Amino acid sequence: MRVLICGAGQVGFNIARYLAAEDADITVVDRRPDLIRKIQDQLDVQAVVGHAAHPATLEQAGANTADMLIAVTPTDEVNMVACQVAHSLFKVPTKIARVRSQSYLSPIWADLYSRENVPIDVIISPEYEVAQSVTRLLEVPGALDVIPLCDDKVRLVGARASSKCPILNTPLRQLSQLFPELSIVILGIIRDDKAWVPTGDDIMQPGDDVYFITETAKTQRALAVFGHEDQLSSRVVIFGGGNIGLALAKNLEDHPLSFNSKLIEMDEDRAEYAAKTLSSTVVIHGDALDADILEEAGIKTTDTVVAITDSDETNILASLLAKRHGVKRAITLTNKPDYSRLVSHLGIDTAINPRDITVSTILQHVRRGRIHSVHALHEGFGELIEADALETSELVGKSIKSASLPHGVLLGAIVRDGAVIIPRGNTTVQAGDRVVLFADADSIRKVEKLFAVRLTYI
Amino acid sequence: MTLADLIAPNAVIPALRANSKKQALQLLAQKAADVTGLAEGDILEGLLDRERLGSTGVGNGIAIPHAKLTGIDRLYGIFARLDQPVDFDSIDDQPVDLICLLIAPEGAGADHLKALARVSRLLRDKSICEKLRGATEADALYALLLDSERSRAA
Repeated sequence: MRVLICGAGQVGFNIARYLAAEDADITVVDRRPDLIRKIQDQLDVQAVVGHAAHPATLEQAGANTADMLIAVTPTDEVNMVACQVAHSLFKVPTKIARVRSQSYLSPIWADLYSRENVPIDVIISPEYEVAQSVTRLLEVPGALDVIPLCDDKVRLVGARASSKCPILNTPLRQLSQLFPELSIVILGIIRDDKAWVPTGDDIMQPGDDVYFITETAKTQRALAVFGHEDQLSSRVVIFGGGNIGLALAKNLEDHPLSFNSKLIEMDEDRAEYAAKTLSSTVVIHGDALDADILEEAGIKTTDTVVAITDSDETNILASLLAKRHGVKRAITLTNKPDYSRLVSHLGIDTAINPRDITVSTILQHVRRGRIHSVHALHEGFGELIEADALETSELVGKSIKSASLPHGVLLGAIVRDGAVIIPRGNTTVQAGDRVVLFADADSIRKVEKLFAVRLTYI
Repeated sequence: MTLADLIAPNAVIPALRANSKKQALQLLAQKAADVTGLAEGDILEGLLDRERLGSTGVGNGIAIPHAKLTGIDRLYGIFARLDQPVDFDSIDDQPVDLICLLIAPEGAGADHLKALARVSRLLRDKSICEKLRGATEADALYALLLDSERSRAA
């Protein structure tokens, strides 16, 4: 697959890094020679210095043979024009653009994006997506990660196994006999920074981070088994009033669970803007690292802090300070990969990883099959893929036992006629089922083959 | 239905120049638009959607991309011999240089399958493929296609 990425900033760089790790041909375009130099030094990609929407630049970058254009420069309009040029002049089949301005995103103007108008197939809004993901974490106390699948009938949940967890020290293959009520599929275990897809012989230990699939309605029950019966944290303090902070505060204002949120923003003008835009959120102008400001925000009675300023260092320090003041849960955004590995050792509860979140939206359009969603998990550990099992594909008609899924691949859930099936060895996938599969990084190609239909599929 | 009903004499491209799968499909969609009167963009989109579900590259350098579209009342075929083979994500990972494109009307279930089977049977014959690869003129290619089918039927 040939992919053209416009914009070598943080988002462009991460997408390029992820796709270059497989055998995609990547070309990156950016106006800034320093960013182009950096990306050429660090990744195996082609790079072109030039304006991302100019036809001559795009031609030079190989738009003629590109299968996909991903426009993620900081400017909405450049991204939109890049898609238009790629469509009209170079017939690039799939166009993805980052669009941030809410005015372009309002549902009432959704007709703007069509082949006849502005030909963008997929719009990504990384800040909005991160805010959504933090909102889900706040809805599910005790979880490290929550990803809704199959119209939120099924969820992937990440949780840390506490020492109170009753299913420790038991080989996984015995779990369904010992705990017949517990219908989950464990897809991944992370111990000492090492992640793997478990087999029936694996045993969970306290402190493991565990990813599992559960029916959405049974999320709390499943979390209780991991030793989490945490209360909903309704009192939230947000550090940072940037795009993510504002989107999150708005989400919480409109949320049916009544959250009580405060927002701390360092920049005076921005704080004033936030105060004007938001209604019930209390906006405080000041430094989240300042004890007086934390006190003003009522840190002692706060359940959760969400640190999402644009500085990783501020996020980490402010979270640690808040924890020392007795805050129960800290959710912390870090952009640098090295930091996200560090934070759990420091005592921060949940690290938000914007890289996985952005890449996931793109992967949905890269993976083959009738794909509904793809979610990259834990820094390249693997991907959770939600797709239709189509007639003539290899997956259909065999029991899971006899289908002998490749090593590193697990079937997490099946949704058939609206009902959730948590698969066991004798479960058979039928044509038309919506399935959730997890594949570690080495097995993703094999999964694409499992989903592939034969020639006679029409 | 024979190949002659499926592929018109003007629906044969003797030396398609493409340097990627995308470009090959795009040029074929252009030709298919001329032949069927459908919009090129719709044809290309239909073909790409189908390819995403699994490549129609069946091995030995052959691909049979196909799509169902509204606005036509019968099956259409386009045959192309490529100047240079292109990577097609085929099941045997071999590049493709002979492509038979099929466009079917929405709802043409059994007919569509029969046409697919007919074309794939014909192109499974290695001696026929060798002859098709050696032909450089549209007339010669067309005659070869029809003759091969007739001699196989006999």
